[in-house]
Amino acid sequence: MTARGRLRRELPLYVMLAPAIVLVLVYAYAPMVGIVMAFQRVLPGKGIFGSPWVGLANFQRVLEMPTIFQVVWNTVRIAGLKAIAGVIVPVAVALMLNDVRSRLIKRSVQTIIYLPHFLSWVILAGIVVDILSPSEGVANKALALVGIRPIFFLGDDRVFPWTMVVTDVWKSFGFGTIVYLAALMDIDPTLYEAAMADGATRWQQTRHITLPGIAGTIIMLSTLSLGNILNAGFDQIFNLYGPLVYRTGDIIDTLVYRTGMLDNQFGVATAVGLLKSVVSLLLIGIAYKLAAKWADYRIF
Amino acid sequence: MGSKLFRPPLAQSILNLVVLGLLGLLCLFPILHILALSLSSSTAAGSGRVTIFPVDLTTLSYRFVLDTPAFGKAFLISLQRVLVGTPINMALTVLVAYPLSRSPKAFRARGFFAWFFLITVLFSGGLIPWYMVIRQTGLIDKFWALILPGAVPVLNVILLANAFRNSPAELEEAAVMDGAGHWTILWRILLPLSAPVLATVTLFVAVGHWNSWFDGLILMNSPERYPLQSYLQTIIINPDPRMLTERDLAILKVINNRTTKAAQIFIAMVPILVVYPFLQRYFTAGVKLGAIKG
Amino acid sequence: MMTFITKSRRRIIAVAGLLMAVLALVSCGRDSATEALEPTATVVASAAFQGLDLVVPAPYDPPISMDSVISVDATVKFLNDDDIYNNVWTRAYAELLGINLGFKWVVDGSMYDQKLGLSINSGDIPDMFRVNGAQFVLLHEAGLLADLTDVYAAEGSPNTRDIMAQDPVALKAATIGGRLWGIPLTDASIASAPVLWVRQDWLDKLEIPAPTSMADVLEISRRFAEEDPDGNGVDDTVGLAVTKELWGPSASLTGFFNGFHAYPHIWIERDGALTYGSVQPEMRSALIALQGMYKSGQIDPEFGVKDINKVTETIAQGKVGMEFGVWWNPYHPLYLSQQNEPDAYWSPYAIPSVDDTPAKSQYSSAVGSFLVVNAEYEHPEALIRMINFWTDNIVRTQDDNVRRIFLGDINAPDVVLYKYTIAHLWEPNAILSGGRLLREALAKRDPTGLNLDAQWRYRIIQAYFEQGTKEAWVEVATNGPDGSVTILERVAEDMGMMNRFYGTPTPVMAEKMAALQTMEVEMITKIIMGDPIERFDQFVEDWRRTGGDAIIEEVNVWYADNR
Repeated sequence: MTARGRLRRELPLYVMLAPAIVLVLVYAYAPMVGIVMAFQRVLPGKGIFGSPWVGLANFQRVLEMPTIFQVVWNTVRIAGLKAIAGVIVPVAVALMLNDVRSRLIKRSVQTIIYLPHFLSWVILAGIVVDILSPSEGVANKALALVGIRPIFFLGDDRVFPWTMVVTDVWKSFGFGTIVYLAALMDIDPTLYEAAMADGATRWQQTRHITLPGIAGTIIMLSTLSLGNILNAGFDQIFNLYGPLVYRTGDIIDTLVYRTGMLDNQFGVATAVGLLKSVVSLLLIGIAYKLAAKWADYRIF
Repeated sequence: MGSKLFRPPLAQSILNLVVLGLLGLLCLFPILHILALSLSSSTAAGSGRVTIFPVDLTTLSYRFVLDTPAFGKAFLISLQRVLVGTPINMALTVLVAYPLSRSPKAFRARGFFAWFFLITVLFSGGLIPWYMVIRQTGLIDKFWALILPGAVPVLNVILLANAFRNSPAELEEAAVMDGAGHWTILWRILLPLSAPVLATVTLFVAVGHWNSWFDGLILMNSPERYPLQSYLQTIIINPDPRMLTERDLAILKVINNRTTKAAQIFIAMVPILVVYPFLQRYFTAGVKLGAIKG
Repeated sequence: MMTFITKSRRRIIAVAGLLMAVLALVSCGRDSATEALEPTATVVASAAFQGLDLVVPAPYDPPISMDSVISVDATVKFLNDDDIYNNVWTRAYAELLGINLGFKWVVDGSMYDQKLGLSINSGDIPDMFRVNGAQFVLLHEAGLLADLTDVYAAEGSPNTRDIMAQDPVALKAATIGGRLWGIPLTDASIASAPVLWVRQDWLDKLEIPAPTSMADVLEISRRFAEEDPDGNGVDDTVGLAVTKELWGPSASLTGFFNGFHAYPHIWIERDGALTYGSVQPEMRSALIALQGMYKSGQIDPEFGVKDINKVTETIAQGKVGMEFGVWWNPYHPLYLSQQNEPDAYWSPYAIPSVDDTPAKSQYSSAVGSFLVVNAEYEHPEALIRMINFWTDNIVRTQDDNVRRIFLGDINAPDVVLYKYTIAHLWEPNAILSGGRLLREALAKRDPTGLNLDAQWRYRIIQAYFEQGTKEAWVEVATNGPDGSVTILERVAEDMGMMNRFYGTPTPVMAEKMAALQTMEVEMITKIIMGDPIERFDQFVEDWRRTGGDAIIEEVNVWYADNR
């Protein structure tokens, strides 16, 4: 094909992209120049071009924080667990919902499980502390019924990361469920008919038709969540953690917050942001390769 | 409706319903708690006596919230934001998703543009440069500041591009044979086929607009221009020792933080509770449409 | 495709219609509610300034304009058609001083620092504005602040100077390199000094005498926890309220440590040099005592996850009878306990001591922010005039009309007018001097000579003693004859321990202090919950090694210049 012919054929694609390209260049790429602040002592009024250069001092300050490595590990761990649970639970619930025949129940459940998403952590934190209280909380009362001794969900640093994962899933699984349900409804019904004709069991149907049918969605959503890996949930943890669980619960964002993001230390803040971006990029790259290799799936 | 052809055993159906019911209760609890708080007296709320039933039933908190003129204004701005922002986001999402869903053969620069957009998710210069750019483009304190800077939701683009790519190729091929161009393929084939995904993404985007508060607080120069959620963020009275004077304390005694806040959260949720069932029905409609055409 | 579109359009119309209906409901509700809650205060016409006895300089002629910024919380109300751009304060500045004050932006209080940070960092600097300590240092370093030394010397009124002098460190805190770069926003430093609050009705019921030593405090704590002071037959009470943050204006441990002569978080003088209170050996015995209390169930076993709001709930539920807090705690949160138990009331006690040496209550300078002027603004003295206007006419006023017009009607406490101006500050000694006047009036049963606020308090306290109005205990416990203000008076005399460091954060301090404090809270929490006390020694070592020694060094360099 000639270059000219190709251009004519691809021209509409460029036209489609044009408005978005302009907006992204202006509102996403132009501000990226600000990454240089990670190497500056940012002074008011001097901006990006006038503030003095300090080399790697901002990064050095981040690395000098006494618990920084523990904190990075906590961040990766909590975010990773959330990403995994954030796939399994919505998929399971979507499968269950898909089996429900009553449209009324189906719709109501879908609406209800979506509700916690609209409450901020500031609000939910107070409720969570009540529910999880070792002495008075509903959760521990339920556990007592089956003979399990009270668990200090928010005060025991071995349990705390798991508490964060579970409460996070509680807040957000309704959203994922909707996506997976849409994907499930997209599966060609003739496949099931054929399978039934072949006498496939329910489980076989699920395994060979349903799961492959939504595999793309699963991989895509989990990769997208990996992109957020280092944002392990500042609002949630900030409102629920305390000195008792710093060892396992302190994450990069809470550490940076305490170390004075509010004190106008924009240089340090930018340095942390850059570090987080680089690690995220690495993780996304790995996920991309894995998805391509194992599932023969291109995310983008 | 695919797998429904095969009926699960009764025992499993029941187990299913029990589990779903429990999940539902778990998710309903905080909402009921907040509704109960909003309808309770401040004394009862303050001493933690309210669980899911109102104690000392009163609508005083709702009266206090609705008495504040800023509330209605903020509500309207949020509505405007959703009604203007959602179509713009969706249009851009579709327009970017389509080229990115083409094969590298059909669109040679596809890989480049995929990264071009993806990088913006991973890297950012932080708040100051972002604010400066918005200021330079003259949007500070303008309604459009809530729309334009986030007009290209890259993650949604990826979601939709994948949906386009996964739709049956035969239809497209047939259309190309008939001489259809890119616009026709997108408009006539891909969009109807991807209706469920589109509906989902629309919901994401609309809810996102309704719920965001940070940009409103930072980019607007006066509280009269705050959207609802930004406004709600500001209405908390924190007992901060350095800020409190004796006169603040007098106010703190009159207004209880928890019940008013609960009333506001609840009022802010009403539109979503109203709109959501409609969108849900629309999911199903979209699927049917897709199934017929497919 | 066609059906697709029309269907969705119909949906949209239906949805929009529903939303309109909701909105209509909202606005209907608002109209009726407005009537019920409308403040009763009267209109302030511009002419109202004419009759007032105000001290003002000749106004600028022609008038000057000044761009400022301000934080206004959503709960701030305005009279009639006023708003933040046009109200009694903007009118007064324009008509009386010749200053046309405008606001570049108005933001909620919680976002002020962030919005200002973005604004000044992107080069958008107002003519006059309020900054915190960290911003103050950065702005000065960038050369963006006007030098106020000369204009303050030339125009600062006697009232302004007097109020500044009441806090001996206020002006020093705003001075860098011998020059004055801002006006410190003063307030009563003494207000942060801890006070011991005890449920008096419980003490009476269990026939426990008033606490005079820390041993008494420990005994009260034990008996409150064990002897069912609320008489409900359930073991649901604790001895001492503690939050997961450990410090704060209420349910704090600061007062407890002070009882053991330990001064966490402040800089004290030892052998002529400054050192940090949290790493002194006196902390040890207090920690051991707390550990014992926790072990025997006198501290909520879940305190490590309960923030101040949660602990406030337990106070309201009547599960706590003792807390260390500040003088105004009856206003919040202690008044809550009376809403469920009408007979509940709390009495204030000075911090008792663990031995024969009287305990000292620690406190820090209240100056946390400053008013500054842009270096390029032509009229830096305009700020001094605005401050003078406040100190000469408003904050010390005995005139009911001035109070009503500029501060708000005392009978409509929800409209607080001074919130419309940033040029307001408070008299550091006002709590003490006002309290003294009020108590004198109460003693001779004669309110004449009191200002409107004090008369209001006078009536409430009288109602408590004469009619037995139980709710009035809040005023009695603070401003009454043996109220917490009398304790502050003694703290001011010789029972206080003031934080000796009042400068802006030193470099290592800005960098490391937050991490060190985190380490400290973790250590204290773990020891209370049963870790061996040797953990404190380990903490002291770690603290010194990971930045503490460097900070001590910096602070002493500062001290050499600011002794």
